[in-house]
Amino acid sequence: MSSSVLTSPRRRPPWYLLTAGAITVGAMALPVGYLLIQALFHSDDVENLAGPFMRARIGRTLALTVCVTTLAATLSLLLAWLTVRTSILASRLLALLLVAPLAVPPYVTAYALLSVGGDNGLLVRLLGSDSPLLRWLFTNADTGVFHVPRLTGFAGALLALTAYNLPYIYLPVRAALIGTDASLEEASRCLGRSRLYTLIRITGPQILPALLAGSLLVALHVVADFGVVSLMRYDTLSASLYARYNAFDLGNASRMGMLLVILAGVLVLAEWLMIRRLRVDRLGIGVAREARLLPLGWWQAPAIALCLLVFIIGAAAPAAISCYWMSLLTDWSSISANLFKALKGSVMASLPAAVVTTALAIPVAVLSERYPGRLSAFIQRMPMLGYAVPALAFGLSLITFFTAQWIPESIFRLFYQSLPLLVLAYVFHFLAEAVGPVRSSLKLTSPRLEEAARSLGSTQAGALIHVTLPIIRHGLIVAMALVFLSCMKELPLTMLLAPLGSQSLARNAWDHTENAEFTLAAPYAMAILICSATFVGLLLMEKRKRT
Amino acid sequence: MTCHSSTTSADALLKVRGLYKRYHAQGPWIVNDVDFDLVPGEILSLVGPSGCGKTTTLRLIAGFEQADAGTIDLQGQPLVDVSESRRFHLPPEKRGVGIVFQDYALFPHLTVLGNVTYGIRQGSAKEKRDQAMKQLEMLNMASLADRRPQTLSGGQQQRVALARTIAANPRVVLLDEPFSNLDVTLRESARRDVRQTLLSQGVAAILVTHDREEAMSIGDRVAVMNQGRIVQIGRPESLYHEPVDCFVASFLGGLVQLPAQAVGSTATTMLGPVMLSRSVQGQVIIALRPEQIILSTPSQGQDQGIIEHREFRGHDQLLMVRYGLHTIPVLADSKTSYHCGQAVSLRIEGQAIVFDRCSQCTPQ
Repeated sequence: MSSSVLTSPRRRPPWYLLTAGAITVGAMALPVGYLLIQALFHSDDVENLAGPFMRARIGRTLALTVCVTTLAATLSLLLAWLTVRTSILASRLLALLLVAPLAVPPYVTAYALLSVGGDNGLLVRLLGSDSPLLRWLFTNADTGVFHVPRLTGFAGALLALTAYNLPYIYLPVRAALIGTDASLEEASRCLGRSRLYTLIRITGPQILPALLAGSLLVALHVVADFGVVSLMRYDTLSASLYARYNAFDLGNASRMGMLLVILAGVLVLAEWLMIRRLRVDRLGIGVAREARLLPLGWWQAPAIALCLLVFIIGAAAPAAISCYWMSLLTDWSSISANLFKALKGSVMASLPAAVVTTALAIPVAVLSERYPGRLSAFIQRMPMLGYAVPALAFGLSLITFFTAQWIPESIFRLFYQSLPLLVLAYVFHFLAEAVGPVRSSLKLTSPRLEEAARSLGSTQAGALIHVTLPIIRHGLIVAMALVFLSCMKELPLTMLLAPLGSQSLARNAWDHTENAEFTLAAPYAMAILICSATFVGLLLMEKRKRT
Repeated sequence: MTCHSSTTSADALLKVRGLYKRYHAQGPWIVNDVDFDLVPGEILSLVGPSGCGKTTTLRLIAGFEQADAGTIDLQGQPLVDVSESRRFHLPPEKRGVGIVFQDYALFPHLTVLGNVTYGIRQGSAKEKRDQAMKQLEMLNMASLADRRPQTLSGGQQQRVALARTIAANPRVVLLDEPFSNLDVTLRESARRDVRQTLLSQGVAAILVTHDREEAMSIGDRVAVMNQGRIVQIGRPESLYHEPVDCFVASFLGGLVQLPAQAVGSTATTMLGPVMLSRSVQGQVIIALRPEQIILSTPSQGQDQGIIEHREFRGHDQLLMVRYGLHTIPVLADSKTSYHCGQAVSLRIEGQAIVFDRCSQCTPQ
């Protein structure tokens, strides 16, 4: 028996799964790669990367990213500690309220915040323009002119983005804190260390991975954010990219797209480098012991107030303010026609995107669950890439790719400024969202079932269609619903890629807010809030079921 | 060097030759040069300790794993043919090999009837249904046809899995530890039912198990596997009474080993003279089944043992009898009463085994 015969090949995945995987990789990597090349070699009439124009935008993007992430991380740590380790009243309810901001897209929060101030804003309408309080607060001492300012710029963006992103750190940190073994802390206290020292040296390292993972997500969100910064008129790379693209300045737009991709790449890499060196596996056996709760005493009231404040800014106020503006609507007939059009536009793009994304998630999930190996691990990471690449940069890369000289006329016509391109962008941006539930339901399905089907005469594809898919249909429906709702509230890709003249909920909400038409924006904001709240509800239900 | 049974390969249904499999390029052979035949209508038990390669062998036959070398033929049709020049694996669905899994793998989204109908390829929808119902009736499961698998007990699930496999009309059925998920009380009747069903349908089957009683009670023949190899294959009686080595002997039943002085085909031991399974000379270790050692009342001039320990077990009792330096386990009937310290004498009945090789043998 020669050794050449006796080398064991890995189980090779069937060609159709590999093809689907290859399409995923190609659709992710090709456009983004092309954008990078294009941006580097496009030399005529572009701003210098190190020049003041770019420096200012990079600076603002970095400043906002660092500040939002730091603020959200600090608040999350404090709030997680308060709701897990102290005797705060109704800790479960408070924890739920702290997650509520997830259901309000940041541009809706920005809309609500913007509509509070201004000479025709919420404050003036509620209190009256001759209110002594407003007069006293907002009359210029030198000129005597009365003007209520709007919360805009850096401060406005910081507030809206922090409120929305806080749960992304709060949730994992809270979970990590619940999972830590209290006996480690007790050991530290017995070794003569103070409560604070123990918190920093013992508890800290255990929740650091969760803190870093959450912070990475938040930083990626802020780098990619378009809705808030454009409405708040804080000119970051994203906001500028969109303005330049609208002014047909593709050279500078793609340069900024490249910078966004690089920034996201650096963030992912930094988190990976930091997390690689951490080891926090539990050494002990058995179930981790729960920690004793710290009595809050007189701190009870301020602690609860802080939790409620986050809930109010992130969720309650935007919802209430949207309701208020909607109640001012008088001319429903003209609105309802437009609302219907926008709803139709959103659904027309979101529904096919949800179906295609889920269909593409199936081979990716099957590859990673049933055919583990280097190849499937690579394919499996691609959806993460689609999620990490800032939406505007991704959208722009698709545009530059499909309008390139060497793309055949027929493909160009099919994709340029058309629904298929928007759907394609949604699919690859949200693929990670669909892979999650499909994978986890596949994990619960025994491969024996597929083998049983094979031995009863089904082909590999037949077993997949008749046995696997019906069994994981619940996961497929959840994946479809998640992607559908994500597409419904998605803003930057919609702004960049929606066909000319089409309307969508997110776009109309943004347009009206941009023009300070808060009453007109309200129905769209409300529609998005409903979609978003359903999304979060679904997500939480799924999470509970899985654990 | 493997001891094969007398079956010739001419009338074999399934022929396995030189089968090799490992999971990592430099790893150990999980299946190491396995050869055996299965004749029509026969039930072969594949038995061995966990990790011996029996389940992998089964999965190679079913087509869920790919062999590194070797051939498998079914009714003259090659299922697997891997050599230096060829790499042929028939897809599982084209093999006509049915399998009943340890966890039964019933499709949770289909009813019992839907599960059984799944593998039936020929005929109209009604014909398929009738055929599936017939199969369910044969296993007394017709009344549960519309139930979901989740609502069935373990024993019922096992019958549905068997019905589903047989309804697909396979040329050979593989059973992967089908009784291990059943209650002990249910196991014996399930064994009888499965054997009866297979025999009545005339389907040949391979049963994988780690339970020796199961292997010997169901199998027309038994193949004992260890470390990827088939150590011995044959009728259960001959394996039990004429094991080729210590491993097979101790795996299939209790074993008592004693020193003896052999002269040709007889030997003298501390328990008196004994016949040997083959001729040897000099100091040897002989092996006996516990039931070969018979208790008798001590007579004059005979060596005597002292009962050191006693375990009452219902249908019999286990006595540990001290003979000089040796403690010998003896099975005695449960009616006679014995007590510790009592003097007894022992004698040997039947032939003692002398192994030509003794690997992994742990003397008692």
